[in-house]
Amino acid sequence: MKRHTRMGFLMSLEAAFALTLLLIAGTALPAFSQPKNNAPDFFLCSDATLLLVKSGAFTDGSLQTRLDDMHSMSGMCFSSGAALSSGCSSTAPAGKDSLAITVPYYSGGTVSKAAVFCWRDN
Amino acid sequence: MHKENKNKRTRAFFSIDASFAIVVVVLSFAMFSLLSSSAASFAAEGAKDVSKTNIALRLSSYILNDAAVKSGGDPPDNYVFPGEIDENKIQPAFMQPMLSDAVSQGKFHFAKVSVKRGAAAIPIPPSVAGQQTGEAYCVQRLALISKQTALLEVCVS
Repeated sequence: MKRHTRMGFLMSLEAAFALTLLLIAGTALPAFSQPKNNAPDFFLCSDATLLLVKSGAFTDGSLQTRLDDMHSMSGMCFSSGAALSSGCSSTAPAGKDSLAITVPYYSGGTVSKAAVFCWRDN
Repeated sequence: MHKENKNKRTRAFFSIDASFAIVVVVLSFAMFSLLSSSAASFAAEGAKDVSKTNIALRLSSYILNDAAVKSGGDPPDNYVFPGEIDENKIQPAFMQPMLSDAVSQGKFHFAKVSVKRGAAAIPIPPSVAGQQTGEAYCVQRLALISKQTALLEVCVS
């Protein structure tokens, strides 16, 4: 009876040790997930926003054409207000990041603001 | 006799247990060293990717800034949008010496700049300098050329 208890103790010690090793291995797993570099997409979205402001697309009615051109060239989806790049879903797919940049622009002598959303559909 | 058999069985159990523990310890050390070396190489690869992409981004920003039209004209025909790109300054004749200079200074081994403009994505002849070694890291930038949307792609390796 006594011997059984000692063996049981050793077994539980081994189990605890194995569990500890498993926990350490588990905590090391995130080291294998490569962080995504969002800088190129951020620059592209920033360029698109500035391009829309500089070209006057928010006021001269060319917003949809600009969004379509930028999408066909870069493969990125853009939306601003009700306008959306043709062939894109209205929001970013689940698990995909969406960038949003708000920018001021002049409209009829007053300062207005517009938000531009950018994401990758695939 | 019965007791002796029991003792032998217990000793056998402990020796199996001990050898199993040694195997587990050796395997654990081997696995951890493998894990740490894999994590290190993974991190180094990620850092290289970020670093090269940032170099491409900085080069693209330099090109966009350098090629920007410095002064505008009268609207509507001669008016130039702020930050609009001068098409002549992204032609190989203008771009090639700058890229070759950067390559010869060892800033990167290879650089390629290609531009497409307008809805029809009309390509402008690309500027290339150096020899590509390994993977090329490319970034895309958007700009305006003659009031049209243009895509600038910069690759470095």
